[in-house]
Amino acid sequence: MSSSKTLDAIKGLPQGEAERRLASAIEFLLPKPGEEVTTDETTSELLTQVRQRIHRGRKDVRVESNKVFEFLFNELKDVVIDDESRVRARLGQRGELPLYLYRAQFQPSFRDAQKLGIRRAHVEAALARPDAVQHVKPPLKDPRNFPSISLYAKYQNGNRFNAHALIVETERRGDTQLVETAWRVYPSEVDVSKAESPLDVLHAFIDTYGLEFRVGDGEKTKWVYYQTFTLPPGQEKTQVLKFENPGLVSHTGHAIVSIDKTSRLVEVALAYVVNLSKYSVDLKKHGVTVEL
Amino acid sequence: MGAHFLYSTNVWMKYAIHQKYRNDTHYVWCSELFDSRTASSFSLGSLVPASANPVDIYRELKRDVQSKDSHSAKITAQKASLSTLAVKWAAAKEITEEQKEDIILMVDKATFDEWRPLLYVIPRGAAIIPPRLQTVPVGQRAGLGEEYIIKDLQGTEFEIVEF
Repeated sequence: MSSSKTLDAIKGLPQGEAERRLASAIEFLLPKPGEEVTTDETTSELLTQVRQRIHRGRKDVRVESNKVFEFLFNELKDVVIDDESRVRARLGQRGELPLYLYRAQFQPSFRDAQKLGIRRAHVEAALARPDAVQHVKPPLKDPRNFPSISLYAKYQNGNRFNAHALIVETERRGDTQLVETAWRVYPSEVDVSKAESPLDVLHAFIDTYGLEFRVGDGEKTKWVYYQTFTLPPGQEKTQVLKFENPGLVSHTGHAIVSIDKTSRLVEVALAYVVNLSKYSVDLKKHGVTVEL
Repeated sequence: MGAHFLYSTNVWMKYAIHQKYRNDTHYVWCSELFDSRTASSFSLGSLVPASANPVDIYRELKRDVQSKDSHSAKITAQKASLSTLAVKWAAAKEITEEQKEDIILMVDKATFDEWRPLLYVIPRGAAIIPPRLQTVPVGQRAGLGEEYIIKDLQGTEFEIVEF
């Protein structure tokens, strides 16, 4: 509160009092139906200083009041928020930041997607201007330490046969989106007729290309979505996902998990295994260059 | 007898903040006519000026949002208003200090789409009567036409229209 830019009218005041005075000045200028408009000396003094700062004297009154509001809002924001990155991280983790404020960070796992013909630029376009985005929340009362995931969908029209949705899967850490992987989903190959969300599209994709696996000692499954497992004694965390591959099918396993080393609790946000042999055949049908 | 519906134009960001931080209770300023120009020129309703006429507010906001007008007077005033409300709510311990910060950052960083107008259509049922429905004193209205305030409109008591 002692920056040289700070208005004298609030300089050196405790934060709460500075907030109150700025809020009072804004309130004084706003139409307030049903209430008497009152002002005190501090409000008048503050508004006088604001007008001096923004060079009063313009003929266009609308622009003048607009600038006063803008000035007061920026002052109030600076008084209330002393560390913007902390607030951004908090909103980001909850999936409440505007999309343009998330930073993308590509994870090593994204290399597998690149081998399947997906470029970083495709993903960046999907993150910046998705047709649909879903900040997935655990369907649980107590989400504990489950990783937070987001799914972005971008529709690529092309010709009718090659039209597809690009589904990008990320893990949210504050205001950063860790790009884990991405898949091209062709309606000509995958039944997405019942899909209502990016998560549904990904699930339909796994119904078509998924392979069965186990988490810990759990049952065989193609799809794990927000489930908790206990890692049996003696098992390493690298053995959390178990996949038997009798047919030596080319595949890639994908999981977003957190593991508590003390309790050996494994919290899986999302896990699946994709049959790359089958998927790459379909990609090639649509003219995609695949490097396997 | 009053009109069957009341109309109020609000921005999406205001709606979202009240829904999330005010338990879906909304403070609205409303009028009996969606467009005061459609009223008989002999009625009081026709005397609601553009600055308080729901359709004019809607069109002005929509124009500003579509043209991404960073000098929009309406949007700037909304930013200032919502941040002031956050400060007052926190001072009254109705929200936490963290929630106050969250609201002000959300308002600061909002995209134009988040300032798009929403039209609240409020059926004037048995519950929307005085004292909940307050008439704005003439001296505090934008014009002579009737304007109302509902301070505790519940999310279930109105429909939202976008056009």
